[in-house]
Amino acid sequence: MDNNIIGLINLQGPNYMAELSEARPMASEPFAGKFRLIDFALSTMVNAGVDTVGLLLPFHSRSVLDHVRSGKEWNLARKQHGLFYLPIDEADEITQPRRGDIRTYYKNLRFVERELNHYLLLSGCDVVHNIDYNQVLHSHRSHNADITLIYKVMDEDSVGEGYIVTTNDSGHVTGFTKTQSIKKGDKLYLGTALMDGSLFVAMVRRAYAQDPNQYLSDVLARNIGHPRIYGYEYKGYAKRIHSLKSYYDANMDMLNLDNWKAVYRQDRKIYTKVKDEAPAKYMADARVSNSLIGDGCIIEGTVENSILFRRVRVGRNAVVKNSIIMQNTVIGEEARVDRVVCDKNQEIQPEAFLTGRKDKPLCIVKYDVV
Amino acid sequence: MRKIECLAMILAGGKGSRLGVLTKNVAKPAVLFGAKYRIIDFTLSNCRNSGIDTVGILTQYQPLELNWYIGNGSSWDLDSDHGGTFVLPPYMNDKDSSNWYQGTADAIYQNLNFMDMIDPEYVLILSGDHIYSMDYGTMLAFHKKHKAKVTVSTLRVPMTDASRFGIMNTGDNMRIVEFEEKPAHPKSNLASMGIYIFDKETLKKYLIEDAARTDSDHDFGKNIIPRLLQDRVPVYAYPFEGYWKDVGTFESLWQANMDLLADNPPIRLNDPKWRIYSGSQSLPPHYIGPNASMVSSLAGEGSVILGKVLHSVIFYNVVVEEDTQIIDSVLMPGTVVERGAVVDHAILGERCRVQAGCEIHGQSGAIRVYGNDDIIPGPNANTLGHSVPPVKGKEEEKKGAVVNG
Repeated sequence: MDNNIIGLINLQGPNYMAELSEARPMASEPFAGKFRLIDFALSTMVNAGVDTVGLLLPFHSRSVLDHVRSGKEWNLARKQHGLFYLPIDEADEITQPRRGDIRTYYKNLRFVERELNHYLLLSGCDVVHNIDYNQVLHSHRSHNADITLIYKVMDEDSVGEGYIVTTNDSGHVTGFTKTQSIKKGDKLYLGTALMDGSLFVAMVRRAYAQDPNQYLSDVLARNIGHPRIYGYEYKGYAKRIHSLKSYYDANMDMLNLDNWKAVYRQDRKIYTKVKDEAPAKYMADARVSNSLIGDGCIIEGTVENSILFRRVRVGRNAVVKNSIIMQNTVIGEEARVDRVVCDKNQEIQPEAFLTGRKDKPLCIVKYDVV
Repeated sequence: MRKIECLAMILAGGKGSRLGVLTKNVAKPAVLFGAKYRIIDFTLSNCRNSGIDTVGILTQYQPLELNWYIGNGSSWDLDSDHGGTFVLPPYMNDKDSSNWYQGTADAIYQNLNFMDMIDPEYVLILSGDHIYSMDYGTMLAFHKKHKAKVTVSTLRVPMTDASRFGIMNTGDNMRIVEFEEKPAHPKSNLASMGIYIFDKETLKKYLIEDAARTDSDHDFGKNIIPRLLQDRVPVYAYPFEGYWKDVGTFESLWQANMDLLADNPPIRLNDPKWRIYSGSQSLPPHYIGPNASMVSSLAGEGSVILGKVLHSVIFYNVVVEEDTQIIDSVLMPGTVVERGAVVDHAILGERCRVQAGCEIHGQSGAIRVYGNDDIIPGPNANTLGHSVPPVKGKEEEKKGAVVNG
């Protein structure tokens, strides 16, 4: 199934959730009881038949390497093609201020140049989605586009940096602007674009010569009209994670079955590292409602409106509400936890009482003992 | 190349006739169990966890789904370059043309070429039909320590049940002096589990000899072990302790599933030092709805539970709609229970559909069982499906049999 697309996923973006994990890149942030954010970018590419994927590794890459490893779970451990790790240039990291993504694209141009006659699918890893890239490719070809930007029409206002696409009736992109507040009805760029491989190479070379410390998106914004840029509206579920709040909200969105079904489709599965946990076990006093429960959990208490990752234990008479509990965490007996995002391997002591605010969930991070 | 010390040969061609509709299209080792597993996962995980990395799997009856499931063994980490997983279907050779396996010993005999190719020091003979966790490494150490030529793994069963098993009578130091197949008056309660370690040369010699006999059933328990004892070959009984179950009937399959729901189940599925590996389905976590309840139950990934589930085993991709009750039941993957239905004391095969308002009532000793893809309609549900009479007390299936009689 060779559709002549190679994928390039940039994992070097900033982490918008420093309060949760300083050293963990966005790519490795756990999502919805089982997954990591990178799974969505990687799985959707693989599902579209992309068999060559480059990962631009972040500075702290241990968690990414540990998660993706050979790429076997995504069927990318191949003799030909498959997964390519593109490490960050350490010298750059130390001597240069890290601004923009042009420098890193430039340093890794060889990955794209190996298949110059291919399309390049460029993606970040901070959006939860299940885009069918074959439909994007179809649109790209039928418009005879040089670049297709994938966007989502927003159904509510939100705060945070983003790029807004404006298009005319035929889908031709007429504007591409950075904003700090996103309004309902805006066409938010999802950080995913399909383009001609050789065009990408030429563009990056030119931009690097001008200024290595700039963003490709800004280069595109300045050049609207020169290459033929089209927009593609993705109508399925998509949420960009750009703050702890949006992370929390996106997780909670998965408690709505329509969203859950839109993201986890049988025909376009989201793959992740296999852990071989036992099935979740509900004990005699378990009371669970409106929750996603991962494998290996053992539940003796009450769980409401929450997401439990793999191997979480909820002790007798403990109550977990409106919370995200990451893998291998133990909630002690009689503990009460509400509006909390709890990192993995935590131990919430018996009878502990933890409550976050509606607009700001409480974070329990690595190495805390509560 | 590194020498392979111990080769495992798994007999996985069992038909499991008494599992009726559940083994209509699959061999017994591929029967689903415990919300995410298939029976053979336990044996394969035992191999992996015991450090055995070379496994031959002998298939025969309905092998397609089993072969697909096993693949190259990577789900169990059994795909290493110097060992690996070898699925061994019966094949034509120049010795004769009737190539179906005649018995457990014949199945291994017909794969002597494979054994010679691997050339291990020891051969571990296993069955793919049993649910248990066992460290074969400990058994192998026992075998070496006693300088045995053959070691039979045994389990102490209640004396009252002993006449249903092959019983080993031992002398000093667990050396077997006598073997009795289903004795009317058992002298001991050490039952054979159908698990053997052989020195390879001993195995080869006795298989070749047995194959030449026309009066033999070519069965390890019935023919090979008695012959070894007659020849005074050192055969030892390894005493295994722990949970071991041959789920040969609907009742025992149902009971083994229910066993997992205890607070401290007899077999641990979540021991990080002894994981039970299985083929991955790449599914999201399961969802428990706002008005649902899940009590004393197991649930697999990708399922959507909107109704009330009590003391049941729910596999992956199951949908339990609102206003339903699932009690003391096993729901296999892809099954849908529609609004208003009741499922009580039942095993539902894969992709069943229990239609709205349908009530299925079985009882302990008469579990109701439906095969894959059954549609169970509302009003007259009780006239359909396969009502199963009590089977308690019946003998378990022939241990480790490849061919069911």
